[in-house]
Amino acid sequence: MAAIDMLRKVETFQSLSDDELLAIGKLTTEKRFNYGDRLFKDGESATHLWIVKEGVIDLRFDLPGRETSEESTLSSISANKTIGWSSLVPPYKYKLSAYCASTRCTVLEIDREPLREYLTKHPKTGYQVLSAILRVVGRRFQRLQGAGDDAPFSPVKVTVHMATCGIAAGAREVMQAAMEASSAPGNEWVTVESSGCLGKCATEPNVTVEIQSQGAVVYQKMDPEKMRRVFEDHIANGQIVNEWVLEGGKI
Amino acid sequence: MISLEFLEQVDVFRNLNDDQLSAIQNCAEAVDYKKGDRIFEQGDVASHVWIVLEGDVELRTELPGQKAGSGSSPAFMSEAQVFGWTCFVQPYRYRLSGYCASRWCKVIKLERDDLLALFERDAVVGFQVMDYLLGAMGKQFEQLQEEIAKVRGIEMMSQW
Repeated sequence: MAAIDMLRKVETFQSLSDDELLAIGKLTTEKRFNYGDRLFKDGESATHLWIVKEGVIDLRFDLPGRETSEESTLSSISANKTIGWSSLVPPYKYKLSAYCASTRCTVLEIDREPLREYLTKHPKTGYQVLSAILRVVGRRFQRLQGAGDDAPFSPVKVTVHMATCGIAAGAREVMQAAMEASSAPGNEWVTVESSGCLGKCATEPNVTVEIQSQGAVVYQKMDPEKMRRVFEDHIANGQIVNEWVLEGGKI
Repeated sequence: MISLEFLEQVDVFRNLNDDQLSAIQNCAEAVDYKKGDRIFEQGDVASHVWIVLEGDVELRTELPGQKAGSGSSPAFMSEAQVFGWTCFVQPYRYRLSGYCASRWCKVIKLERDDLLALFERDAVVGFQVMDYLLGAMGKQFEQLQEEIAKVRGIEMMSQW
């Protein structure tokens, strides 16, 4: 049985109360795997939801008739993340294969049937857990879309202009803030890059935000705090922060 | 106004009681389109769930450099079918474009924020809707896997 403190860190259960976490904890069983061990295979009956406790699990999209390899890894899942969402979705078959990708992996498995029963009996918990799983599946979906594209799927690209003028004005700190924000859970779809001078040295640090199928927006005189707000308002919620947009910066 | 009778025929709302259906009804607005009209564009901020009331809606990808509406044709949605789950998932943007594919389309728009407020008030509705949307995503995930496997299989064969 998993401890409440551990479950509280799990993305799928973060919003639950102690009582709810205790009930979910009673449904868990701890298992250990070694490097290269397979937890489950694409197409198998999805009998469990899994939580990574320690180590790294690779989710791979293995093509029929081909040996598995690291090249087919779609996502590497680290501690406190959930895998095996298809155990909650008809036809209850795993959509990807999962392999232990670190020396050792410790996972918690939760039987589908008692979990489903608990969530149905407690719809408030069920709503919160399914909402969190929906977000997880959304991310995996986008990763899968990326696997089907020639270029990696990246709906959002943030470019920090880091020529000498930009660096002197604080572009390194802005870059650091952008990297931190992009590594936060849920932002896997954002790529952060550096580039040269934009030709607008007086307004450095400049940052360009490009959202797939929309135009680019150039922000001027950025600092780490502004960068974090651009992530929250523009990238997450689609609201351009007009007050910081460079004149003529909507391209 | 959209009738409760129609709403209870929609899979995602099946088994809800009249009070719950009325709450859904309050979040809903019917919009008319004619053939070829774009309902939303791939990459737009996704703030609504959609249900087809009449007609057919085509969901398709827009490929860079192609004329609007000339991308591939992954799915057609007909009466009582639901689409637009991306409004609940970051980055909250439509991953496909939606077009009216029949002479006329009547489509129900459900505001995401109103729905989320309703789900907070009535978790039974929230649980049922999320459960349904997860199932819909699961199906699309599987379809996408099949498409990719097919394309990669063709690529592999062409290298032989």
